[in-house]
Amino acid sequence: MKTTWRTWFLALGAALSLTACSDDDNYVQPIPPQPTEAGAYVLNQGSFNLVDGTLGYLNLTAGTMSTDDLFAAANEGRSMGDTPQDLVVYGSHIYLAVYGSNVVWVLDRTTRAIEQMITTEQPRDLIAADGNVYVSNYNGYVSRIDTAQLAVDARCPVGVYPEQMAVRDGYLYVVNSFGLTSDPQGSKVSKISLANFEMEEQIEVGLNPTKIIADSRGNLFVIQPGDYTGATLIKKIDSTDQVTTFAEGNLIATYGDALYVATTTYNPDYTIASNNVTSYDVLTGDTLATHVLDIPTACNPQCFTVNPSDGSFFVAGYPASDFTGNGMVYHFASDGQLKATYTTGLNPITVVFDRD
Amino acid sequence: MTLKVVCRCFAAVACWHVFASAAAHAQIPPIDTLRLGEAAVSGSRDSRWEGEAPQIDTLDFRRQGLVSLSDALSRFAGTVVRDYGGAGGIKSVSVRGFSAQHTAVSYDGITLSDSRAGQIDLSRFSLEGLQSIRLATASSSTFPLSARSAAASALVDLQTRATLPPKGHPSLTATLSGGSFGRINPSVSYANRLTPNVALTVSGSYFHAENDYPYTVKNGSETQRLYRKNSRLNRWNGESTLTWTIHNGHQLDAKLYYYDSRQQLPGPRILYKEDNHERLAEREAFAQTTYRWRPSPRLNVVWRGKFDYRSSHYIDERDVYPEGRLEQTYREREAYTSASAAWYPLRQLSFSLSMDYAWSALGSNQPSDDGAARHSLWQNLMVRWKSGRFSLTASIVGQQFLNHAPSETAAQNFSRFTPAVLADWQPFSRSFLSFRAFYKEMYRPPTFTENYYYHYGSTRLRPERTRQMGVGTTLRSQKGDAELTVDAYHNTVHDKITAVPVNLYLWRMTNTGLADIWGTDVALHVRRNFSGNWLLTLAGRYTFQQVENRTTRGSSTYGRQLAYTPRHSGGASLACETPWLGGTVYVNAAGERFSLPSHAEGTRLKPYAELGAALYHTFALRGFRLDARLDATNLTATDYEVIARYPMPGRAFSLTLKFIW
Repeated sequence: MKTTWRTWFLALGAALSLTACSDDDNYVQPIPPQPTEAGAYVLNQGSFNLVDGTLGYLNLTAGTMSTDDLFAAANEGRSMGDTPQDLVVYGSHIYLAVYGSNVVWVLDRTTRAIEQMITTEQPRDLIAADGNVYVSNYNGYVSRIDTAQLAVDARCPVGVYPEQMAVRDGYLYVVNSFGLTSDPQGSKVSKISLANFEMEEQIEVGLNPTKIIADSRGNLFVIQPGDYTGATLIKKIDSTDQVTTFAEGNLIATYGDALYVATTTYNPDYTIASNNVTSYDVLTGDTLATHVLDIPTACNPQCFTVNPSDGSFFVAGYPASDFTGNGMVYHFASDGQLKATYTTGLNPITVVFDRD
Repeated sequence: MTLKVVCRCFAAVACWHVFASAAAHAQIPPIDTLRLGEAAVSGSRDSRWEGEAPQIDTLDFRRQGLVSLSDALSRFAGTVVRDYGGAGGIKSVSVRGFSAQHTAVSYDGITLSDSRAGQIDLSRFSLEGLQSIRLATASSSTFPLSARSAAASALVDLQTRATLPPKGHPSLTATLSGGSFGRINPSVSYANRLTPNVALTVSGSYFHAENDYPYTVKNGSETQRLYRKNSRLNRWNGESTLTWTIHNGHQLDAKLYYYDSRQQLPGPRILYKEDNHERLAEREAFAQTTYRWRPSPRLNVVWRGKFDYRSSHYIDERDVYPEGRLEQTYREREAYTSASAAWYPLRQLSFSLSMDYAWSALGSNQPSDDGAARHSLWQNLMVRWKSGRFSLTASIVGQQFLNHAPSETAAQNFSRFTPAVLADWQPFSRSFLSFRAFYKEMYRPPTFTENYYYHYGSTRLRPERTRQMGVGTTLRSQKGDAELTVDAYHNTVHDKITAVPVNLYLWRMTNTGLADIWGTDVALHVRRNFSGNWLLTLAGRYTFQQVENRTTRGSSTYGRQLAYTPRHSGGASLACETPWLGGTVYVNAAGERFSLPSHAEGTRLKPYAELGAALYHTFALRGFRLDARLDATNLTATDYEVIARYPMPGRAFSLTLKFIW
């Protein structure tokens, strides 16, 4: 998902040919051809302190979703543990952060067998860069995993409740959310030099930033839900670290020169009124297109991602009416047409593309 | 409801209290105070129960091998006890498919209250201090009943031990109990008759348990034997009761109660992580009094009053918190008064009228909860017609709630009246067979947590409504040594208070739930005396409960059994008493349950049967008596969970020695 295509963009960013967007209702962005992503992992969070997480796999060629927990299937029935948060495919390994169990699993990319169990406190998010995998620890650190040793070789204090990370120009950016205690310090993006692995500064972005992604043009986009009672804002941090409010919405993804924003609106009785996706030009902030995707309001979206190989969308979430039932994954073509619906485990939290 | 109506009602209740207390102070010439005093003290029950209200008392405690109050309550048909495991785990009781918030628990006739969480943790009461436990449901009623008790869908009535010594001779009871997992529990109780009319009981107990019991975790092909950690518990409690028979027909009971508990919380079991750093300290102090006056055989007046203070202090020490710890403190205060009167104008006709008022307030270090307060008014009018072998009881309960919150919008106010009807019929003059039919509507207000808890509570909540209807029969053998009761019921819960996610991180309480309940409770008690003072007793029970979610048709939870509710549960105990030794064996079993309403994969809790046994004997020694008892629980060391991820203890032993002077 995010990490994978973020990595793609980092690798291919300079080569991208940037095209101005049209204002018609078309999601298709002209971008250079990319390696085909034939499959995607779907990480199901389970239920905190109640049901362990599971790993599903979506075969995009055949259009089928695995029904078993692939983690257990590849590891003699072992469970990954309580509340997985993130997954990254990097090199010959899969890294899987399990928050409640204080573990990052390192799996073989082909067999998915456990290669290493790295104990690290409350891992939240993972990102790969320059031969390392970085883990944000909810107790105020980012840990660096040496991908040759498969062990944490350094950790850097980054302030309260760090969550998602992004990499730009030799720096790691991590959001400081307001966390478990509504901490007012949770209003920053911490900027860490990858060279010496030290925090250099904290950028104020407003209360409770929870997610951050980098685009192909040197911008960072931050989701900032505040105290969850008002509209969720999307802040843009430009290449000079200036912060501006870019748009409103709940989930974001980038593709080409566009930022896609998924927004869920609610009725007064907390049922879902609509799910829609808007695309913006990352340079100008102009709205490119708004589509009301045919995501049933029975789904409360939790994860939104764009397949970097073809620009199609994946939306995953839990059932809004009974929030404890099996999750669903919707696949939309880049023009917004629903291609397929899949059922997965409890609370799908992330979709990560991988070959085969 | 408008404020004006509420004010009028409060004015009415105030007048009623003035009347009741004035009446109570009227002078009645004393007639044989001594005799009546004794009668009044030894018979602590002043109420008459109609219908079926099963009871467990001290004799059953050992005959059924009961080790705790929650254990005792789980032995009633129709109950489901939620148990977080071990001596320190929260235990609450649901009756006939309703959530535990619908179960009121009264302590010597006065309802215990927790307006914050709305349910009473039964783990804090030890059987040692109790005389009897009664479960009253829609199929039973009593005269006169406080309006607050009448307003509960189900009532657990706890009567404390009221052993009183013969005249002029104080009595002292010292108990020492200890057992597996570092449990030690000494207690002492003293009773004395200060004057012929005044009796005083003082008791205190201390409880310590390490609770570090082992449990088994299966993870794929691996099986691990682990121990509960961070599970230590220290609690003590003290209690004093004064009973004063003032005049003929006047009696005052006053009680002081103090409870202090400090415990570590082991938390749920989580793979690859064993440490937990949560602690909880709780305190409660209350003073309660009951004044009974019987001015004539046709009138019975009871006034009750209580002031209650309870505090809770939760700490989680982890470096994830910027301050190194998370602390949540709550202070609840409640003042309560109740006046009730039973009037028997004719032999067949009786009335009961009661009005209760309570003021509850919550203080907290959590800004959203701090300062929440509620005025509650309960009224109950009951009419009973009893002619020959037929009785009909009709009742109406009014509940009014007026909410205050200083920092934000107060929760909605409510006023509603709900009816209840109970018919009881004995077709034959010898009362070995009886039939009953009942209908009861009730509602419960949202708790302060449901109303105000940060990001979760909603002030827009309506009360949760319940409706019960059913039939039942009791069959007794002519000699009274065997009894079979069968009840079948259909209950519904409307506007069930349910948490729903508004977005990824924000959950809100709503009234969206609808539950449909069909149930059958069967209870059998047999007792057989043999020559040579041999006694056999058998207690058996079976409960069928189909408690289904009917909220949203087409959703994955629709039509499914509610979480943690077994469809089948039951058990039996068999005791044999001889002049030399008493012994009992018992089994408690429950069918499959699910930890989530969707029954999703990974949420099934497997059925279990737990086997236990006890041996006991009373030694009459020079000048005192010794009750000795050896208990073995979960004899087969079955691994099971009542609440997912909270393992229950395996095989455990305990020895109790009780010296009575």
